[in-house]
Amino acid sequence: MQTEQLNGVVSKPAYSSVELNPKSRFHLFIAEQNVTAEMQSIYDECSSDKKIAVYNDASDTQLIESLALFPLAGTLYLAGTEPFIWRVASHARQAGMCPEQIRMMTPVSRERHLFCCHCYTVTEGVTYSPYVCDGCGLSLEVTDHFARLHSAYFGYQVNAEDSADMPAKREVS
Amino acid sequence: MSVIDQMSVVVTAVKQVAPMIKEFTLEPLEGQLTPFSPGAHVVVTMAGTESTYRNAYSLMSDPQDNSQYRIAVRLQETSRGGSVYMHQQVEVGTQLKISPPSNLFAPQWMAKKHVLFAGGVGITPFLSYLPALQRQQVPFELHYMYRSQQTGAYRIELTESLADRCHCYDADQGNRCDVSAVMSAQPLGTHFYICGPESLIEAVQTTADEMGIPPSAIHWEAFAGAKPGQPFVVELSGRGVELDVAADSSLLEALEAADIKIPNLCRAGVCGQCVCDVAGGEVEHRDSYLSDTEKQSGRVIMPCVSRAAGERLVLDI
Amino acid sequence: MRVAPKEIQSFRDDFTYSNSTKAIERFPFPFVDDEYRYSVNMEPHLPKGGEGSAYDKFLDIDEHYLSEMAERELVLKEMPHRCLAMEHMDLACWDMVERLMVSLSEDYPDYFSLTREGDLWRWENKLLNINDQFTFGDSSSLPLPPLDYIGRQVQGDFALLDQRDGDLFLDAGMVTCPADWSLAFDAGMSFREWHGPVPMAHSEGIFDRALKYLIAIPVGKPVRRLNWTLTVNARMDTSPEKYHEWGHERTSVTPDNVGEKVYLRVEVQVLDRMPRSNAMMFSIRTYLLSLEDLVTNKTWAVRMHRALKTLPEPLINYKGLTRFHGTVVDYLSQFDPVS
Repeated sequence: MQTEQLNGVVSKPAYSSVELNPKSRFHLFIAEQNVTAEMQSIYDECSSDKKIAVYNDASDTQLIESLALFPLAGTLYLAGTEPFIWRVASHARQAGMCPEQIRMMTPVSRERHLFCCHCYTVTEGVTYSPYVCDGCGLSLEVTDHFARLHSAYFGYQVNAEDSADMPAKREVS
Repeated sequence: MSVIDQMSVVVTAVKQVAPMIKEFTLEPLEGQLTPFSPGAHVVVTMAGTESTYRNAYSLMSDPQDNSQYRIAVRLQETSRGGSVYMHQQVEVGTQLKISPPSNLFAPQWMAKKHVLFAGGVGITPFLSYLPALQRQQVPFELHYMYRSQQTGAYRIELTESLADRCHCYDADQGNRCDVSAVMSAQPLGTHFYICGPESLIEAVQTTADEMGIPPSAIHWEAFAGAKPGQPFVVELSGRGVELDVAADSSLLEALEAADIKIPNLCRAGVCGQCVCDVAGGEVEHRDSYLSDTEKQSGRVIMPCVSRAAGERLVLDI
Repeated sequence: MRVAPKEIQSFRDDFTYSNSTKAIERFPFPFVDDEYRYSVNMEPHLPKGGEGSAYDKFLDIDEHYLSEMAERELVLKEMPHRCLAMEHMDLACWDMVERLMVSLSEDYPDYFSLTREGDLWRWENKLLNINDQFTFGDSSSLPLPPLDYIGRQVQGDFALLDQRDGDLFLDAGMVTCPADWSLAFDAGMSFREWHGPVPMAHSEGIFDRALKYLIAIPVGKPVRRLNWTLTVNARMDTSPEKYHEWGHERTSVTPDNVGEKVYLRVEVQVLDRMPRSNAMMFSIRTYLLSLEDLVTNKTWAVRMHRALKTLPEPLINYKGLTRFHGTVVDYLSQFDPVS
């Protein structure tokens, strides 16, 4: 199975500071729980048609509804945890938005969603590796291979080759 | 890459579809033609008396019909001879060689809606889009701009079959398309396609940019192939050979005439396949493939459209 | 002579899979040099090696046909998600149906036949006793979705890549015998994303060059490349999905059993432009050969030894060979006069 070389894999998202898109006619700001300082400053800078929304525990239905009427010439700004950002982005792409219309701020926490390749369960709130899968209970190696569609990182049983070979816990960044 | 296989076809019908545009129906000499994807083109080889021309033409028949292909050729005032050859030499019964179809202008299958801007003979790739979009039952609009004294082929048939999804603008009657109005009325998930003169492509791109429409929703195909220029000499440093490139021949055609195989798909400076290394001489870049840095370096050239800026060019072949 | 399909053997549990002498002879041995180098190594997918070779036809149907189709049924029955097709890939799936049915019926008329009258098609697969009539392009006229239907009748894994924005996206496929990658996880990824975990190649610019080459492949000009790894036991389904069940086998290799237990796993990968959708079909045909069968060919034994001995460490780890690479090199060294 893939091991340490997964560090530095190109599917791991990289984030840089977000700026207002001056060309856009409409700006939608979506924050997961709190409007971050970064988002607030971009929002304040924006003088054209804009809307800000905070979703505490937003359901997919709510998100899809708020994206459905988004205009063609708009920009979407996202703040929150990485899984939230990519979940909204995935709905936005489904609604027809182009990648360059979606601007993501650096995630507010290191928490990851972890996709178990054995049972396909996604375990939330993962900060270290190995991590026990909520679905099948296996200890999973948390890799940096990220799927935008699942908003999650790839995980596989860490000690499948030798059950006694359990690596020390390490934090993931 | 291996040599591109040619297919032999025979012209079974020639039709004047606009004052400057002729339509040619091509059928295979044997077997069936391959199906193709909307927006695909073939490269037609024309063996003229002076030199051999190769031009890319969009396929405009129904992509599912493999009994025949149809292409349309506009007579170009500044032609190097290819369109003149098609208009004057090719008739029913003429045999031609064509490349297998390739596609640099395919539809975005994920689009929620397609808006097509056609200028003059730029209607041709969209004629293969329309049956596919209709079968898919996905929303679309066609905006067709032409000068009825020169172009405007198929406008009556299109208006009849597409009804309010077809919008015609005849510049000779003073009708202009308000590109900005068309684009601002579109919903999220719309993709825009442009085939026509450089001015139309630029107009749509500029409007999209001003309106904040994302660049990846804009797709275009310029139909400008090689244009004539000054004659020059090309030296092939690896072979110790010198070739003359005539005013109405492209560098790629001159290389092909000397039996030097260069991979190529579009012959219009777009696909990047024919790139060659330059070992000496100044280049007049005419392609839209190389980056500005690459062009400034003077180390590479797209021989399908670009030429020597002086009298001599050395290629590392 | 081509090797005819034989009775069903297993790729799991009791592992009854075996290669006949003819199958060993035609095995697509991947090493052309004595030293291993990662390369894109693509060549036109044209016949090579004479009649009956693994490169003789567009799709290779060999003596393991029935075994591999039975194995595929087992995998799909347990995990139907190993086959998927996004909505916008419908036309590409029909492209694949056409490409496979036409080439199989032309190349193997004794096994497969296709009759076409306009859109009304009749497909017969004598090896699997299938005989269906359907309307081309109408998914409701087939007993299964088009990719699922045809995928169960041909050896090897298949992916369909949508081409857009100068990139290729993994938007459909049937993957039941992968060398350790998951279609369910990688679905929808761009070319660079799904190759994300491959070490070394990104920094060397290999993928950028490969992508540029691939997006320009025209209709009727398929290309192929070989890839390889080592598998413990004749297991076709070395998927991540089942890694928790097969991973422990990597610790079971000993100097005594290495020859029969370790298999060279070769993938003949073919990329072919689909004419109707402009999608790319990526087929991955897997061959397994035990080391003890492999060393019956002296040239192969020597090359295999030298290639494995010089394999860079990141690749040893990436291919999952860490636990038994040394044992394999030691075993092969006895066949190399220079070692």
